[in-house]
Amino acid sequence: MAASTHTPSTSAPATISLKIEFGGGLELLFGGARSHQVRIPAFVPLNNSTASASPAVIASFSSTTETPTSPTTLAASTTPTSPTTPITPATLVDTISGSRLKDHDGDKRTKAADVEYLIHYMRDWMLTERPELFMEAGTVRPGILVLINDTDWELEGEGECALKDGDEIVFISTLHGG
Amino acid sequence: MAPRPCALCQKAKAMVKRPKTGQQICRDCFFYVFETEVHNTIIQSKLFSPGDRVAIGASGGKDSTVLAYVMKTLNERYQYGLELFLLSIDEGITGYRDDSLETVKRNQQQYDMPLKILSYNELYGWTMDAIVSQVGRKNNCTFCGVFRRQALDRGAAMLNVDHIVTGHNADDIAETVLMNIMRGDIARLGRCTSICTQGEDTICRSKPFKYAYEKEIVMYAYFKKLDYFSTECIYSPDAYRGHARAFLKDLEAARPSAIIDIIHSGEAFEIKEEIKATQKVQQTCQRCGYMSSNALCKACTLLEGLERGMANSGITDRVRKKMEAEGPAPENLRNIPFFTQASGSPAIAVSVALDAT
Repeated sequence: MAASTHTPSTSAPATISLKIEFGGGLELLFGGARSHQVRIPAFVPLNNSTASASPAVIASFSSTTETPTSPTTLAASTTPTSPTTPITPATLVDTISGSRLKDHDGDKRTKAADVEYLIHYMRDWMLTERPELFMEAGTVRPGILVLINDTDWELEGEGECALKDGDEIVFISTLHGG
Repeated sequence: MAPRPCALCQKAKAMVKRPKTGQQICRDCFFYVFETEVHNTIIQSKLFSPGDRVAIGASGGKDSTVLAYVMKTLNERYQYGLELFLLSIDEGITGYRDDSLETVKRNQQQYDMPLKILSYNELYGWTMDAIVSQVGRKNNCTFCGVFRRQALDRGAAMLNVDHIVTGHNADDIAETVLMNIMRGDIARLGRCTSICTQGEDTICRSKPFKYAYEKEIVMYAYFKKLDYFSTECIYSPDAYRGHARAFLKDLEAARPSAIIDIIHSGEAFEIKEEIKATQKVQQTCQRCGYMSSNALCKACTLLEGLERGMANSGITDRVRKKMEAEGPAPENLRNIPFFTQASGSPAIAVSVALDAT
């Protein structure tokens, strides 16, 4: 969906819940867990700033069939406590110096949460190492396939695809040897 | 975005955009066109004859896993009459190859094919772990590449097969074309796009996925839920190829046909006869009998360097000369067992007879 700008009303559904799966070795950049359940705001800054988003990885599983033994403890252990962990300084540079300030400076334009925002969110709040292997020029690095509800994201508008509650997004790296 | 119907069946929801054509197709049509294109590649290039014994070079990674699945499917669907084997090379890389070989062992069960694993340790007396501990991480890919090529041929000879198929895909071949152009390697540029390569006396090697995009192979594996292993080799990656690959992926993002276009460019190069004449004639290695363009094959040169503690000798001419200056190879040097070609004919005759019944 194109970046439609609207102001969220206080009664709008505040968050949406998404299932994220990794394949092709990409899970290694995300703490080794292949399956993640996350909650993101339904309306997000137009500039994809994630600084105001509270990290809400609900649970992470190393295999897709595994059931969480204790969701609350998992959430506590997988949720970045603050954006000051070793990997985040580099990734947060533009957020801190640019987007977040702009946010506070009154750029309050928002859009419905889309895949582009999700990619920024994943980089800022879920990635555990080497962000350059995940993201490049505001999108995923060439060679990473994205499927939204099992459909090639190239058919869904790529980054502009709007997300809804319950969507399942799969990221697969094609870059590992065969 | 409103769901679009499949461009082929007009019924189901389109789920894949084909990079080669831009066509938007559904899952079942995608399976059908992917498999049919591989079948067409096999038929048009006349890769196999009925009764052929064919080894699939299997690493446990996405390409070879999909290749094994598709070869099995096509062999049954179109009655190629092939006898299929899985052939894996164990380089001896702890935490990498040992895990991926577990995947190959599962594939053996899933696809019901005989599996042969040949290790560097068995063939050369060295694992990659041991080689890296001697040569470091900088040049170890040279050893691995040379040793793997020869190990595959030798494994194939042990299986008594006529043919090895590997999972090299269109992206791999386009990368190789680019690398050979950048290195000015005319000899390799001339042959890197051929679907089938065959030395004077070695087993035929071919690439049925020559025109299959990596994206489609990964999508195929995902939709079919195939079991594959995906971890980067723990030793230093081939940095030069890495750059070619990143460049190619950028080109593909801008124009998806770039990959097939580069392969076509590679195929269209014609090497002049006078340039071909300057290239070295193939001979057999005087130490191990494997095909070689020098008196000693690359693997024997590298192995001698390792054994004499001068591991870089096979890599640069300067160190090679230094090693020669120190005298001939000691008598008790570890050698690669002498290479003998598989005598395939009786086995072929048997399987033809079986297929006919």
